[in-house]
Amino acid sequence: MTADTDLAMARGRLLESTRRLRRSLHIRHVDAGSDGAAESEILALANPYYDIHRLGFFFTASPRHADILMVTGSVTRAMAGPLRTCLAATPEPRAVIAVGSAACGGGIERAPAVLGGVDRVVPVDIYVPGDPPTPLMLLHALLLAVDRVDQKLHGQRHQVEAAHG
Amino acid sequence: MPNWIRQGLRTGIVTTRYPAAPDPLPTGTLGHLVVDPERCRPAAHGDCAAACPTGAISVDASTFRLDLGLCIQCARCVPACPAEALAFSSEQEVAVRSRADLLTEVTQR
Repeated sequence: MTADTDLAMARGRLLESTRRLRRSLHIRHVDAGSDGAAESEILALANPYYDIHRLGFFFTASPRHADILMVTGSVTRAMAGPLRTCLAATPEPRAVIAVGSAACGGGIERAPAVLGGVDRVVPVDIYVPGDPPTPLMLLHALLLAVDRVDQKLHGQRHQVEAAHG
Repeated sequence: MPNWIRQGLRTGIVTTRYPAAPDPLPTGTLGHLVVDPERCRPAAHGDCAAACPTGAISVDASTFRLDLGLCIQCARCVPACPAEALAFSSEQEVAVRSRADLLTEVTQR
Protein backbone atom coordinates (compact mmCIF):
# COMPACT_ATOMS: atom_id res chain seq x y z
CA MET A 1 0.00 0.00 0.00
CA THR A 2 2.79 2.43 0.92
CA ALA A 3 4.67 1.34 -2.18
CA ASP A 4 1.60 2.28 -4.24
CA THR A 5 1.32 5.66 -2.54
CA ASP A 6 5.04 6.30 -3.07
CA LEU A 7 4.69 5.37 -6.71
CA ALA A 8 1.69 7.68 -7.12
CA MET A 9 3.62 10.55 -5.49
CA ALA A 10 6.68 9.92 -7.65
CA ARG A 11 4.45 9.93 -10.75
CA GLY A 12 2.84 13.17 -9.62
CA ARG A 13 6.27 14.82 -9.19
CA LEU A 14 7.38 13.54 -12.59
CA LEU A 15 4.19 14.85 -14.20
CA GLU A 16 4.74 18.26 -12.60
CA SER A 17 8.37 18.51 -13.70
CA THR A 18 7.63 17.42 -17.28
CA ARG A 19 4.50 19.54 -17.74
CA ARG A 20 6.17 21.76 -20.31
CA LEU A 21 7.43 18.78 -22.31
CA ARG A 22 4.14 16.92 -22.57
CA ARG A 23 3.28 18.20 -26.00
CA SER A 24 6.36 16.66 -27.57
CA LEU A 25 5.47 13.80 -29.90
CA HIS A 26 7.48 11.43 -32.03
CA ILE A 27 6.53 10.42 -35.55
CA ARG A 28 7.31 7.18 -37.32
CA HIS A 29 6.89 7.19 -41.09
CA VAL A 30 5.83 3.94 -42.78
CA ASP A 31 6.03 3.60 -46.56
CA ALA A 32 3.32 1.07 -47.40
CA GLY A 33 3.71 1.31 -51.17
CA SER A 34 4.19 4.96 -51.97
CA ASP A 35 5.59 6.52 -55.16
CA GLY A 36 7.92 8.75 -53.13
CA ALA A 37 6.06 12.03 -53.60
CA ALA A 38 4.57 12.07 -50.10
CA GLU A 39 7.99 11.19 -48.63
CA SER A 40 9.45 14.31 -50.23
CA GLU A 41 6.76 16.43 -48.53
CA ILE A 42 7.23 14.69 -45.17
CA LEU A 43 10.96 15.37 -45.42
CA ALA A 44 10.21 19.05 -46.09
CA LEU A 45 8.48 19.27 -42.67
CA ALA A 46 11.90 19.23 -41.04
CA ASN A 47 13.37 22.06 -43.15
CA PRO A 48 13.86 25.61 -41.78
CA TYR A 49 10.63 26.90 -43.33
CA TYR A 50 8.18 24.42 -41.74
CA ASP A 51 10.44 23.40 -38.84
CA ILE A 52 8.09 21.01 -36.98
CA HIS A 53 10.62 20.73 -34.16
CA ARG A 54 9.45 24.14 -32.90
CA LEU A 55 6.01 22.55 -32.32
CA GLY A 56 7.45 19.55 -30.49
CA PHE A 57 7.26 16.99 -33.31
CA PHE A 58 10.25 14.77 -34.00
CA PHE A 59 10.91 11.88 -36.33
CA THR A 60 11.97 8.60 -34.84
CA ALA A 61 13.36 5.45 -36.42
CA SER A 62 11.47 3.00 -34.23
CA PRO A 63 7.71 2.48 -33.82
CA ARG A 64 8.39 1.69 -30.13
CA HIS A 65 9.33 5.32 -29.59
CA ALA A 66 6.54 6.70 -31.77
CA ASP A 67 3.25 8.38 -30.86
CA ILE A 68 2.12 9.02 -34.43
CA LEU A 69 2.39 6.75 -37.46
CA MET A 70 2.40 8.51 -40.83
CA VAL A 71 1.51 5.93 -43.48
CA THR A 72 2.07 6.82 -47.13
CA GLY A 73 0.92 5.09 -50.28
CA SER A 74 -1.76 2.57 -51.11
CA VAL A 75 -0.98 -0.54 -49.10
CA THR A 76 0.59 -3.34 -51.11
CA ARG A 77 0.07 -6.99 -50.27
CA ALA A 78 3.72 -7.27 -49.23
CA MET A 79 3.57 -4.29 -46.85
CA ALA A 80 0.28 -5.18 -45.11
CA GLY A 81 2.02 -7.55 -42.68
CA PRO A 82 4.87 -5.16 -41.77
CA LEU A 83 2.33 -2.34 -41.33
CA ARG A 84 0.28 -4.41 -38.86
CA THR A 85 3.48 -5.36 -37.01
CA CYS A 86 4.51 -1.71 -36.89
CA LEU A 87 1.13 -0.68 -35.45
CA ALA A 88 1.30 -3.47 -32.86
CA ALA A 89 4.76 -2.23 -31.80
CA THR A 90 3.53 1.36 -31.32
CA PRO A 91 2.50 2.01 -27.71
CA GLU A 92 -0.92 3.49 -26.82
CA PRO A 93 -2.05 6.26 -27.03
CA ARG A 94 -1.22 6.55 -30.69
CA ALA A 95 -2.59 8.09 -33.87
CA VAL A 96 -2.41 6.83 -37.43
CA ILE A 97 -2.32 9.41 -40.23
CA ALA A 98 -3.05 8.32 -43.82
CA VAL A 99 -0.87 10.66 -45.89
CA GLY A 100 -1.99 11.42 -49.43
CA SER A 101 -4.84 10.41 -51.69
CA ALA A 102 -3.33 6.97 -52.28
CA ALA A 103 -3.31 6.23 -48.54
CA CYS A 104 -6.84 7.64 -48.15
CA GLY A 105 -8.63 5.99 -51.04
CA GLY A 106 -6.33 3.33 -52.46
CA GLY A 107 -4.78 5.34 -55.27
CA ILE A 108 -5.00 4.87 -59.00
CA GLU A 109 -3.21 1.51 -59.13
CA ARG A 110 -5.67 -1.29 -59.80
CA ALA A 111 -3.23 -4.16 -59.48
CA PRO A 112 -3.49 -7.49 -57.65
CA ALA A 113 -0.49 -6.44 -55.54
CA VAL A 114 -2.36 -3.41 -54.15
CA LEU A 115 -4.85 -3.94 -51.33
CA GLY A 116 -6.18 -0.35 -51.21
CA GLY A 117 -6.31 2.47 -48.70
CA VAL A 118 -4.58 2.28 -45.32
CA ASP A 119 -7.93 1.85 -43.51
CA ARG A 120 -8.36 -1.54 -45.20
CA VAL A 121 -5.43 -2.80 -43.11
CA VAL A 122 -5.17 -0.71 -39.93
CA PRO A 123 -7.58 1.79 -38.29
CA VAL A 124 -6.88 5.39 -39.42
CA ASP A 125 -7.44 8.46 -37.21
CA ILE A 126 -6.61 11.28 -39.63
CA TYR A 127 -6.93 11.40 -43.42
CA VAL A 128 -4.93 13.92 -45.50
CA PRO A 129 -6.05 14.19 -49.15
CA GLY A 130 -3.73 15.51 -51.85
CA ASP A 131 -1.34 13.88 -54.24
CA PRO A 132 0.99 14.68 -52.59
CA PRO A 133 -0.32 16.85 -49.74
CA THR A 134 1.76 20.00 -49.14
CA PRO A 135 3.87 20.09 -45.95
CA LEU A 136 1.39 22.57 -44.48
CA MET A 137 -1.46 20.09 -45.01
CA LEU A 138 0.65 17.52 -43.14
CA LEU A 139 1.32 20.04 -40.39
CA HIS A 140 -2.44 20.60 -40.11
CA ALA A 141 -2.93 16.83 -39.86
CA LEU A 142 -0.33 16.51 -37.09
CA LEU A 143 -1.88 19.36 -35.12
CA LEU A 144 -5.37 17.91 -35.71
CA ALA A 145 -4.16 14.58 -34.32
CA VAL A 146 -3.26 16.29 -31.04
CA ASP A 147 -6.36 18.56 -31.08
CA ARG A 148 -4.45 21.81 -31.41
CA VAL A 149 -6.37 22.98 -34.49
CA ASP A 150 -9.91 22.47 -35.79
CA GLN A 151 -11.08 20.41 -38.72
CA LYS A 152 -12.09 22.71 -41.59
CA LEU A 153 -13.30 20.28 -44.24
CA HIS A 154 -16.61 18.42 -43.79
CA GLY A 155 -18.64 16.05 -45.92
CA GLN A 156 -21.28 17.87 -47.97
CA ARG A 157 -24.61 16.87 -49.43
CA HIS A 158 -26.31 19.43 -51.62
CA GLN A 159 -29.80 19.27 -53.08
CA VAL A 160 -30.36 21.56 -56.05
CA GLU A 161 -33.43 22.29 -58.13
CA ALA A 162 -33.56 20.72 -61.59
CA ALA A 163 -34.72 23.96 -63.16
CA HIS A 164 -31.69 26.15 -62.42
CA GLY A 165 -28.92 26.92 -64.90
CA MET B 1 31.91 29.85 -41.26
CA PRO B 2 31.83 33.67 -40.74
CA ASN B 3 30.09 33.87 -44.10
CA TRP B 4 27.42 31.45 -42.90
CA ILE B 5 26.79 33.50 -39.76
CA ARG B 6 26.61 36.72 -41.77
CA GLN B 7 24.24 35.12 -44.29
CA GLY B 8 22.06 33.73 -41.49
CA LEU B 9 21.79 37.12 -39.80
CA ARG B 10 21.04 38.86 -43.09
CA THR B 11 18.33 36.34 -44.04
CA GLY B 12 16.52 36.55 -40.69
CA ILE B 13 13.68 34.21 -39.71
CA VAL B 14 12.29 32.22 -42.62
CA THR B 15 10.05 29.86 -40.61
CA THR B 16 6.30 30.02 -41.18
CA ARG B 17 4.17 31.29 -38.31
CA TYR B 18 1.54 28.59 -38.84
CA PRO B 19 -0.57 27.66 -36.80
CA ALA B 20 -0.44 31.09 -35.07
CA ALA B 21 -0.99 32.84 -38.43
CA PRO B 22 -2.32 31.49 -41.75
CA ASP B 23 0.21 30.49 -44.39
CA PRO B 24 -0.55 31.24 -48.06
CA LEU B 25 -0.47 28.39 -50.55
CA PRO B 26 2.81 28.33 -52.54
CA THR B 27 2.39 29.61 -56.09
CA GLY B 28 1.82 26.87 -58.64
CA THR B 29 0.30 24.57 -56.03
CA LEU B 30 -3.29 23.41 -56.10
CA GLY B 31 -5.36 23.00 -52.95
CA HIS B 32 -8.38 20.70 -53.02
CA LEU B 33 -11.15 20.52 -55.59
CA VAL B 34 -14.39 22.27 -54.70
CA VAL B 35 -17.70 22.17 -56.53
CA ASP B 36 -20.10 25.07 -56.69
CA PRO B 37 -23.54 23.50 -56.04
CA GLU B 38 -25.22 26.57 -57.52
CA ARG B 39 -23.67 25.84 -60.92
CA CYS B 40 -23.36 22.05 -60.93
CA ARG B 41 -25.93 20.35 -63.21
CA PRO B 42 -25.33 16.60 -62.91
CA ALA B 43 -28.63 15.75 -64.60
CA ALA B 44 -27.58 17.58 -67.77
CA HIS B 45 -24.08 16.16 -68.38
CA GLY B 46 -21.20 14.25 -66.80
CA ASP B 47 -18.20 15.65 -68.67
CA CYS B 48 -16.19 16.01 -65.46
CA ALA B 49 -16.52 12.29 -64.66
CA ALA B 50 -15.39 11.41 -68.19
CA ALA B 51 -12.32 13.63 -67.79
CA CYS B 52 -11.38 12.27 -64.37
CA PRO B 53 -8.63 9.63 -64.70
CA THR B 54 -8.90 8.25 -61.17
CA GLY B 55 -12.66 7.95 -60.68
CA ALA B 56 -12.66 10.62 -57.97
CA ILE B 57 -15.66 12.18 -59.72
CA SER B 58 -18.64 10.06 -60.64
CA VAL B 59 -21.90 11.24 -62.13
CA ASP B 60 -24.99 9.07 -62.37
CA ALA B 61 -28.50 10.11 -63.46
CA SER B 62 -28.81 13.20 -61.29
CA THR B 63 -26.07 12.94 -58.68
CA PHE B 64 -22.52 14.31 -58.74
CA ARG B 65 -20.11 12.63 -56.35
CA LEU B 66 -16.61 13.85 -55.52
CA ASP B 67 -14.18 11.83 -53.39
CA LEU B 68 -11.15 13.90 -52.40
CA GLY B 69 -9.50 10.70 -51.18
CA LEU B 70 -9.12 9.67 -54.84
CA CYS B 71 -8.42 13.08 -56.40
CA ILE B 72 -4.84 13.57 -57.63
CA GLN B 73 -5.31 17.29 -58.41
CA CYS B 74 -4.67 16.86 -62.14
CA ALA B 75 -7.30 19.57 -62.81
CA ARG B 76 -8.56 17.95 -66.03
CA CYS B 77 -12.13 18.29 -64.80
CA VAL B 78 -11.90 22.08 -64.45
CA PRO B 79 -11.87 22.93 -68.19
CA ALA B 80 -14.13 19.92 -68.94
CA CYS B 81 -17.06 21.32 -66.97
CA PRO B 82 -19.26 23.42 -69.30
CA ALA B 83 -20.95 25.10 -66.31
CA GLU B 84 -17.60 26.16 -64.76
CA ALA B 85 -18.70 24.67 -61.45
CA LEU B 86 -15.32 23.17 -60.52
CA ALA B 87 -12.37 25.07 -59.09
CA PHE B 88 -9.40 24.53 -56.82
CA SER B 89 -9.41 26.08 -53.39
CA SER B 90 -6.31 27.61 -51.85
CA GLU B 91 -7.21 26.09 -48.49
CA GLN B 92 -4.41 24.07 -46.93
CA GLU B 93 -6.16 22.90 -43.78
CA VAL B 94 -7.63 19.79 -45.37
CA ALA B 95 -6.94 17.01 -42.84
CA VAL B 96 -10.09 15.23 -41.61
CA ARG B 97 -10.94 12.70 -38.92
CA SER B 98 -13.33 10.58 -40.96
CA ARG B 99 -13.29 9.28 -44.51
CA ALA B 100 -16.86 10.55 -45.05
CA ASP B 101 -15.66 14.14 -44.64
CA LEU B 102 -13.76 13.84 -47.93
CA LEU B 103 -16.98 13.21 -49.88
CA THR B 104 -19.15 15.81 -51.60
CA GLU B 105 -22.48 15.09 -53.20
CA VAL B 106 -24.69 17.27 -55.38
CA THR B 107 -28.11 15.89 -56.22
CA GLN B 108 -30.34 17.55 -58.77
CA ARG B 109 -34.00 17.00 -58.13
